[in-house]
Amino acid sequence: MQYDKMKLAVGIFVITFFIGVSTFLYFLLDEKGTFDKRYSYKFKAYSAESFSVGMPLKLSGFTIGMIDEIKLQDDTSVIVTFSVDQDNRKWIAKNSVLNVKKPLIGSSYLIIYSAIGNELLEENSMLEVIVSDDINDMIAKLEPVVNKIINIIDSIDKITTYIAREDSEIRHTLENIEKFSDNLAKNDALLTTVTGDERATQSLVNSLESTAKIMQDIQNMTSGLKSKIIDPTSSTIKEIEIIMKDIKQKLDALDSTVKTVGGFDKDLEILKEQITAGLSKSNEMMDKIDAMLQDEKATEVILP
Amino acid sequence: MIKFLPMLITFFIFTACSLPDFKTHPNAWQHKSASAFNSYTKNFLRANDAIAKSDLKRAIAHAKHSADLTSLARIYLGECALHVSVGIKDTCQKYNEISNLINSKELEAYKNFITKSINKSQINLLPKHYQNYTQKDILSMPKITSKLLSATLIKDKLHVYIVKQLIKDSSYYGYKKAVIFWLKELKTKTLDIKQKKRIDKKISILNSK
Repeated sequence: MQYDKMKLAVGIFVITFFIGVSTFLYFLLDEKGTFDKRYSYKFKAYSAESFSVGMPLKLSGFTIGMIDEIKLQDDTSVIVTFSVDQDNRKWIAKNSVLNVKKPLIGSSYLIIYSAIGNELLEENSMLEVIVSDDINDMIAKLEPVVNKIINIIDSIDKITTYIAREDSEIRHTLENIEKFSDNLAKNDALLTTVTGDERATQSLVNSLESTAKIMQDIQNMTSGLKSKIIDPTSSTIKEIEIIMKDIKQKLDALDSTVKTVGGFDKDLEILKEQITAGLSKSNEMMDKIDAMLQDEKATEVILP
Repeated sequence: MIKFLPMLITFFIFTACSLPDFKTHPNAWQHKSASAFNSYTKNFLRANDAIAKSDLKRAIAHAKHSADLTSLARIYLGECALHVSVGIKDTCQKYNEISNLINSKELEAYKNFITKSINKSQINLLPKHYQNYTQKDILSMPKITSKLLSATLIKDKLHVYIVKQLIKDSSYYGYKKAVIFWLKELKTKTLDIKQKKRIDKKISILNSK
């Protein structure tokens, strides 16, 4: 009895649990829209590369549907089927356009550009699709640049081709430069090479030669000056130098003599005194002789 | 000669003893000064310049023994007069420097006479033979130095004859400076070119050593 009650309780629990889970599942699924009616639509693409089952359909950033099926047709085209629920069916109107977005980062998705206000599109209708991905956009933007680069390369190619041509102006210029340098190598006169006028060169050369002659004359004059004035002056200066050296030698000798004589100062003083005394004595003698020789014994100086 | 020699020596001894010059006089300096100047006069005119210079120095030295500068002034004047007599320019500057220290009108008149700046009032103060003398008086002057001086002072007016006579007298005494001076004066007074050349030749010979 007790066991039976237990069985009953367990049975009720299980059933209740089952019902509860089922109800929960139901509500959950319902909430997820499993039981909602979905409306399918189709669009044609040339390649299924950009698509995959489960790819979301977005409108203004909200997912309103997804791709359910991708089928390959006999004509190698691809039919892609997507569906939307009841709530989002209103976005699928006539003349709505699908756009496949292939971002550089992230998975691809569909965008619908809904023509709001139009009638709702019937189920299983074909929509128009535009495949646009960022890579392609970039390429689209780069394409003109690339084209330009290509043009530049083409132009360069044209220019180089033109340059390489035998009748091109640059080649003519280069040939002329070559001729000029050849002429220069052959011709001593740069002026003739530049002007092409030998007479101008000749007159210039003549002027330079006459200038050279004048300079030579001046040089002769100065050399004559050198021989007439400067050299004699130089020789005079040399003679003076010799004389001065001689004088210097003599002065040096004299200096030594003076120093030697200077050493005999005391002796010279004595000698001087003796000479003075001798002179005085001789003067006295002369006075006496004068007195003897003269007739008159004058005391007064006789004027003429 | 041997016999004559002792006599000669004896003679000299007695002569020496008798000479008063060997006796010391108080004013011996005057005698010496006068003698020295007399010797200077002769040697100067004879162109013995070295001896003349020595004589003059001795004369001045002796004259400076006295505070009475009359002898010294006379020596200076005599030197100036001798210079003038042979054509040497001299303004008697040495005399002028001491003239205010002596009071001698005669010397002042003599100085003015030899510098040709004498006044009529000073003529009487000159020696007589210089008072109003003429060319003719020159040759009769007592001393050769007086002749030379007086002639030089009027040399521009002298007759050629007087000049020639002066040359002759100077030559007799051997007064070379006077001879050369008067030869040059004779040349200026001579018009004859040959004579001039002869005079030049004489002068060059006399000047040569």
